[in-house]
Amino acid sequence: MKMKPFKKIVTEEQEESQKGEESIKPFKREVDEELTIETVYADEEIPTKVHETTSLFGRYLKRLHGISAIFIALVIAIFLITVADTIQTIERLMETMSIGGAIYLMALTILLTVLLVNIVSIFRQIKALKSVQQMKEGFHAQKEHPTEKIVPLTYALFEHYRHSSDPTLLGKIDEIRNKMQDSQVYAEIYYDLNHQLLPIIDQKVQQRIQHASVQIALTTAISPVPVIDMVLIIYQSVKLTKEIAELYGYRPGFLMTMRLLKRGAMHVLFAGVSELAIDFANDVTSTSFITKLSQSAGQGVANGILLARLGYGVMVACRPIEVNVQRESFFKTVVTAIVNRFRVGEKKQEPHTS
Amino acid sequence: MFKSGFNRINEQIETIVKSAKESIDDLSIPVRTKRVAITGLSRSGKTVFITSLIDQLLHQKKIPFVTSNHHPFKVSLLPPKPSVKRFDYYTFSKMVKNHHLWPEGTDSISSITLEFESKSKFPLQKSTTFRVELIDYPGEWILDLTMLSLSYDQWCEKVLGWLETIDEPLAQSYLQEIAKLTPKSSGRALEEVIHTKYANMIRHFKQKHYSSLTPGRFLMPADLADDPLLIFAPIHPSDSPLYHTFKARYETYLNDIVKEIQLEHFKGFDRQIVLIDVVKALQNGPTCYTDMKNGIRTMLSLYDHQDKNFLLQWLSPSIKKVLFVATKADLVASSQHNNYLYLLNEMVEDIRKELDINHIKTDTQVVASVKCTQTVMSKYHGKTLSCIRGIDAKEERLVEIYPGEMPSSFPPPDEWDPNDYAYEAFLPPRKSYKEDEPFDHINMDRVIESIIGDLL
Repeated sequence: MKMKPFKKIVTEEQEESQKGEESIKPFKREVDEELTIETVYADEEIPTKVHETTSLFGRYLKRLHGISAIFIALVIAIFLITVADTIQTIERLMETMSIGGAIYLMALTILLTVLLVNIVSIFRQIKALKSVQQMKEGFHAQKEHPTEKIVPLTYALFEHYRHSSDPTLLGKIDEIRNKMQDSQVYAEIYYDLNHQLLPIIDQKVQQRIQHASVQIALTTAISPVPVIDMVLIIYQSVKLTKEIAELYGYRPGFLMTMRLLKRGAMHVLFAGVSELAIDFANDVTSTSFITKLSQSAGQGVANGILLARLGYGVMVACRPIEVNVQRESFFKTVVTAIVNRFRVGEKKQEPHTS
Repeated sequence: MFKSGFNRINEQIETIVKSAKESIDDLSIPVRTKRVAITGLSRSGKTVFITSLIDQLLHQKKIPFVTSNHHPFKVSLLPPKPSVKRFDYYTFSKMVKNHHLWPEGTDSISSITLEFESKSKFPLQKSTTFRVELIDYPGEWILDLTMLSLSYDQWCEKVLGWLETIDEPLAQSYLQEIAKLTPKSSGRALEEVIHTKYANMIRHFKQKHYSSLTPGRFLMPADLADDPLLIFAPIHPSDSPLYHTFKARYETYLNDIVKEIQLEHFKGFDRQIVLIDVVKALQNGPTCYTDMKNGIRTMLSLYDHQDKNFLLQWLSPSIKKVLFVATKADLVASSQHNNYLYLLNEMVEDIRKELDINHIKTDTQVVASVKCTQTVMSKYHGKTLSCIRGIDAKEERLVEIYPGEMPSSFPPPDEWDPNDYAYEAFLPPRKSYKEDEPFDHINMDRVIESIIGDLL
């Protein structure tokens, strides 16, 4: 039935009583930090949820192949074996009451606890990863023609950044939230998130990538042994991945870091040859400059650029909305920073060489 | 001696540098002035829009979309020009902020110039300055400009043809009245009878939200209230003295009144904001919608839209950017603004296409110059509804309105029931403003960014 328009008079008492209801005094409470998109959708429709629960078994059955499946099966088997062994040991201990048995039981209990904690942690991380993916997919669907679904998605994103320590980011969230209370034009909401809110984080991420790339370029340029280069690159890659994920509001555990690192690496591996060539041969890393560099310095620059590419890949994986920064300008900034460091070094060396 | 000579040279160099710096500072580079046409049919909210626009720019406290994207800038109002009445920003602002009332309908042309000052990009220049000139005018007068291209006969044919198409008793009555005229009809008394009948009829049509009504001076006569110059009306061509008198007065009206306005105030614009009361169109049915759409099209045809190169644009400016704005967005619940924008897009779709073909940049926006309402969720018969709460203009008390569901597209004429929509006028909010606090608004910052963001 279509609702006809109507009007009612609001008395001052009603107005005052509603004001009273609205004014909430400050309070503190514990919250679940692992915020997923589902929690915010609680009052909304979740069309995909029904489908997910009905075909859950089938979907998991399909996934029982590959290295990750073997790993999960192995963890579950170890867990079950440990549980069974613990029960058996308790039974035996009850019969024999030996000290050796008690020590063995203690060791088993510790192992069991560690395994349990890790399984819970892995499960939470998988859930968080799924949440990231769902949010990305949600926003991706809103890119061309945003619909009313962008409103709950946006509130989910605000919840995601609720615990951020960045006052600029929190201020911008308040600003957009207030605007949404006044006016909800879906394309404008998408624009505000993509061009006003997330660039605050993008800027920090870009600075972090730039810093890490310069650092790796310099350290690998002066390191004498290739093995040290490798260790440094792996260490910086993991560290950078974790930092980027944290900046985008995630709490990356081991699994999540590895997953994001994998996506970043995929970005490096599967980027077009032309893109790679552009990154190396842009006007900053011009051949005239590259040719002047020593072999080790050249390797340093290359490592720095590769780490920047990896960082960009992780940024693409973490950003809830598709990356807004122009790829060329992003790399130009990073590569300029790396090259400038080497130029400064070269200039400093010039008086000695001449 | 050598030391004193060196000091003297040093002092001379310092003096030269100082004087050079001062002369650079004093260089009188002509200040860029951009004329922004704030256009709209009558009651579309031009005066309040200009007042709010100035208020937001002067105080800059509620336009984060602009201030966060640009370097800091300062805005000041230039003194009035002797040639044209100054837009009375201070009175209008005081009326809304202190007396919580809307300004009266505009009855004269007024203008105001804002000077923007920001940090220069060039190190030798102290600051960058540009000016934006805004013009307010009675919306009723704008369509008079279309009469300039019509002879009296053509105008009569157009108006009488339109009267025949509309289903209005007053129109039928007027047509019957002029049908009685004979080739001998004459006399001041008859002239006044016909004129009064026509003037009253179009005033009545205005109340019924028709837009394409000419001459505008019949609706808003201002200083010509009792002028015999206005005693004419459309009648069928004949050899009667009445016809010749009306024709002569029509031509005098065009030459002395309308042409002067056009030459003085409706030329040389760079950008244009077109204010449209989409709520009014939706609420008054398909006739009002079609009439308003035609009115907007006619109004836009009066302006010069061309994509000129830098030199030509400097010599003879023409509009290169048009922003269509659906005003009074605060009458619509915030969750329905997307549909409100769709309606605006639908209304101006054809006009935008034509402008786009001519390389004129266009954009659309929903705006409330002064936000008077709040969107509240109310339970009604078990349903949660988006309602509007504010001070009702008729009852002057706080009311909550469920104005109906805003459609995403204008309904087909046979399904269009104006009773489905009950958008009502509200008074400005009864709040006390701080000294430098601008009006609450919806999307005024986006309008500023869209229309002058490139200049900041």
